[in-house]
Amino acid sequence: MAADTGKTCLVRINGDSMWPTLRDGDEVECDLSAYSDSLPVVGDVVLSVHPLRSSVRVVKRVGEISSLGRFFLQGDNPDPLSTTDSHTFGPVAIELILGRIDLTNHD
Amino acid sequence: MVDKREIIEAEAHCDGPCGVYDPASARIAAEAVQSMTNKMLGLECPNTGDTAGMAAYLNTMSRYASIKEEEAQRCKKELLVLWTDFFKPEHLESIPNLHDIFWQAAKLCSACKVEVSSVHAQELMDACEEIHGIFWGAKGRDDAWVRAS
Repeated sequence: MAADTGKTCLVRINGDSMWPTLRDGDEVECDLSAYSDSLPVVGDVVLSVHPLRSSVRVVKRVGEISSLGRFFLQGDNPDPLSTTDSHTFGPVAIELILGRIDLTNHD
Repeated sequence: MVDKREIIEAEAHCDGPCGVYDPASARIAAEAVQSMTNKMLGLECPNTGDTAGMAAYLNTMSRYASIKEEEAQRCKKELLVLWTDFFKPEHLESIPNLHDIFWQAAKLCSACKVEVSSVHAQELMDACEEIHGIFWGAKGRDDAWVRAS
């Protein structure tokens, strides 16, 4: 896993795929060590590497976990044209998930 | 490695479609509708005994009507693309009457298609102008409304 133990980072949201949870321009904290000793669970909002564009980072919610242990990531925006997620790039491997977005202090 | 407190830009939008939208496409079609409507209303009918003149009249009128209907349908299609693809649920927060605006505009396209109404043709242009303002406002821009004709 690509997480750095004990570290956090700030993530700036670019776009509306996670609306209404996160809005364009929002900055949220990401716990890069969240999955050092555990796996993401359904409902977690995670920072992930785009599986088809390795230089791109995406923030999505874990919608399902497949029997093969891959994570189906999806945007919160109900408009299917608002988000590029696992509906198009498929479920992602744990190695691509960098950390968990902390929404506890987010309005 | 990621430095502590580094700010990471995360993409949270769709990267599938081209993402190029412009209400100018609908405006051009609406202008064509208005132009054809006015040409139809201004065409003078020849005497019934003037066979060649009547043929030319009917041919011209048919062409105007055909173009008017095609452009009205094109205008509706362009508006629907903006409505269903560009505008997203979050836009309803600032434009709560968005759906009604597009619904009424699409209705005007239909009216212009089946009628020869300069009033409805102008109302369609007005609707396109309103959508122009809403569209560019949603993108944080203040582009001027222009006409080709």
